Amino acid sequence: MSSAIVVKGLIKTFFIRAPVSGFIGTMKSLFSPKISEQKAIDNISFEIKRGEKVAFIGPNGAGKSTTIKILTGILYPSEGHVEVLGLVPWQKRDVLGFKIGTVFGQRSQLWYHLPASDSFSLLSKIYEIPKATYKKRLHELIAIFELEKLLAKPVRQLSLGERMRCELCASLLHKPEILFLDEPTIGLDLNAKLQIRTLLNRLSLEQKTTLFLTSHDTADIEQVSERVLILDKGELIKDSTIYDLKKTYMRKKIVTLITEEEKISFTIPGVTPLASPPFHFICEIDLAIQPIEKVIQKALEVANVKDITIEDPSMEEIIRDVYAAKV
Amino acid sequence: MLQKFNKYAAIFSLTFNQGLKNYKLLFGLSLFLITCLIIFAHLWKVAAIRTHTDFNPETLLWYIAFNEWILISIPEVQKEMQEDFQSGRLAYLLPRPISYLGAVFAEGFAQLVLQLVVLGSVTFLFAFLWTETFPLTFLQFALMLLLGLCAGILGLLLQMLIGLSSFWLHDVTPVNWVWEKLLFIFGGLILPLSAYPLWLQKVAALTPFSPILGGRSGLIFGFDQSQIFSLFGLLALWFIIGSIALKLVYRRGLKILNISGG
Amino acid sequence: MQVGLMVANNVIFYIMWWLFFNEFTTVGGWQVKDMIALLAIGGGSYGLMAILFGGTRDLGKLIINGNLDPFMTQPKNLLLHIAGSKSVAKGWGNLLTTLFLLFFGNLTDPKTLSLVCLSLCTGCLVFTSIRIIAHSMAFWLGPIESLSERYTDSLFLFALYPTNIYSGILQLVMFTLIPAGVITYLPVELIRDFSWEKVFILLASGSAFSAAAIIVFYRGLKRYESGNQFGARV
Repeated sequence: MSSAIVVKGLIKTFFIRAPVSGFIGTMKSLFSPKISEQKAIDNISFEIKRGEKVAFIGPNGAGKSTTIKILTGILYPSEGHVEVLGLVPWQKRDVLGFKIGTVFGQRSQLWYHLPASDSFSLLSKIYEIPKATYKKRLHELIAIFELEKLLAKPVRQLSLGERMRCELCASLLHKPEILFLDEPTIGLDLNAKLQIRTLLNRLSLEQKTTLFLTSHDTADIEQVSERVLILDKGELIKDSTIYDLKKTYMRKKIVTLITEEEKISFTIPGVTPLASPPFHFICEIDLAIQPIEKVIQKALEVANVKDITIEDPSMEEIIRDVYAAKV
Repeated sequence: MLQKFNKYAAIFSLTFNQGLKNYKLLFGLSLFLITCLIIFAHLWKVAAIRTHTDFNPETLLWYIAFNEWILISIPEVQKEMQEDFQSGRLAYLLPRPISYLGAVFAEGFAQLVLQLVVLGSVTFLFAFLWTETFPLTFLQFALMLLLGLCAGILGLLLQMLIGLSSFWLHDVTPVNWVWEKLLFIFGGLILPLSAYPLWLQKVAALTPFSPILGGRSGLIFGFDQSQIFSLFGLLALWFIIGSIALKLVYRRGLKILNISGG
Repeated sequence: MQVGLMVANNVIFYIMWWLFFNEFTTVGGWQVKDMIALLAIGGGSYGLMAILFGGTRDLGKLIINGNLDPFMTQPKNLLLHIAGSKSVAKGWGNLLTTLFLLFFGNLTDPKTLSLVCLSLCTGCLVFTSIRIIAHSMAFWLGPIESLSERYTDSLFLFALYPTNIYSGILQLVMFTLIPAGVITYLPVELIRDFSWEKVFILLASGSAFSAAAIIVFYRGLKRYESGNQFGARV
């Protein structure tokens, strides 16, 4: 089968007891509790092929972690069909466990006061990896993640970036076919982030691992994933490749003019002023309405331009636009 | 099957080694235990004199020793379980091809065994040196050790049950507080169980606390073959009840997680 | 509702306690009333600590996991900040039980009440200080939180016994290493037989333990800051 993940018509509703305060409220809730329905996931469908690198993004509360929990078999849906590597996750959690790996950025699966190597060894037993296979695999991963110097140190003595590399290594010991990553670069400095992203790309290329990652960092999305699923309030509002997303929004350009005049203004169709600090003019041009040469021509007519910068909109702005369009 | 056992054995040995490395804790616990022994022994000696009950002070110390040994050796797994729930680490642990409860038990069992061995050695050596008596034959002592191990295992199981209340409560300490009080009263820590009024002894005998602590340690006052069997039996019975409860509560807890999120 | 449960739980416990030590109370001329005062002050002090300084319970864990940093970056007094960061509900249960005991034991005249309040404050300080010292040991000894908590809990237990039943070295221990005597015995003696001397000793002890706790904690903190125990943590 070429599909790693298949999701059709997924709906998940939670029934939450309304919080009560006070003695009378508590008594009341014992006999007739107020239960409110919360639709965490509202009818989403998507399919992910093996080897794809997919980013799963959305604001907090959009339903991302609920989706991951369903895909990893921790929760089951209220309605809908889900298949991960041909298995129904919550029914075959044990079997699926051997084939998937998880990395949660803010939590650790390593034993805190022991060297990482001890945790690796334990995981090899949990995943029933034959000794010879484990040794070879560990050797490979140590080389890839550059862990030789870190293995003997207790995990609590590692920096966050070093710990993340160990976490990644730990999640890959059993050669999972899909790797779920939840905020893998959170809290890392730029260098460490870059390193992790490079490693993930290499992983996907060399081992054909399917990557499913959630992140708030748009650079994660841009530099690692090929496809992005955008979630908002439980609905899938966008499912597109990065390439297509950029192409759609490449219609826009951000132009920054530095002028001799303190303030300029000009209005032509297709140009949206964004900001005008002193001696600057920043605007967004919709190329579908107005070609860029015309805008620059007009600017030169209206002002003494000392410098021009033309940029593509950032991933963040693209995503913001997607949300705005949805509203 | 062997591979399954290997997983839990691996957790056991890892925890055991980690515990050994943390020898400062073991040393501290030993010191703490001896201090408690001395204080309680003195307390009860005074109580015995003033209430004109005839308790041999040496035997009394051995009673306390057998009690405290188990009480302090039971690992506080409920705290770690609460941490797993609250931090969301559970989401990490559940997809793994290993039973969560099994893993917690393996970890707790390693801590228990290590502490039983270390604290037991310290306690009994101290009791022997302090009282200059050894009130049991070697066979009886061996049986007491075995009983202690079983009692510790039951205690561990019940602590896990308390830990599971994390599914419902934000903080398990209130539940643990109640548990400790019950252990104190019905486990014969205020006074030897045999000094309680008869009706209270009967009530205590119906709880798991008596076989874990006071009922078991009470053998020191009069070693009775038949009591040994009944104690083993009670421990086994409570273990079975506890295991069933554990499985049911866990399943219910997961269901709640599914219904209302977490 | 949790608080209600706590009160019920405490009351039952104390009743059992009292049942056993009925005969005990003839020690040193003590009466039932004094025993009740002892329980009230012991439980109340512990409860007050839980309410005001509940955050100290997690101090050991914070030290071990290197999580003091978020507290350290804030412009508040570090120790107070951590101590006050949590308020444990069961503390209210203990305080309510204390109130109940005071009424039950007819200890509600203004003079006694004011002495009780004073004792609750000093007792709370001593409990908190011991807990801080116990947890601060983590700076030097590593992951020993279970020992630290056991030590603090045992102090609570021993505070529920009148310390005049001990003799010799044990008596000394009860006023120093396990200051149960300072928390409950001394205040009850104060109520039984007032003297300014006793008041002074009570206040001095409370201050001494508090000072010790502060010294120990900040000494330990230096080790934490120097980073030689805990390596770099981002």
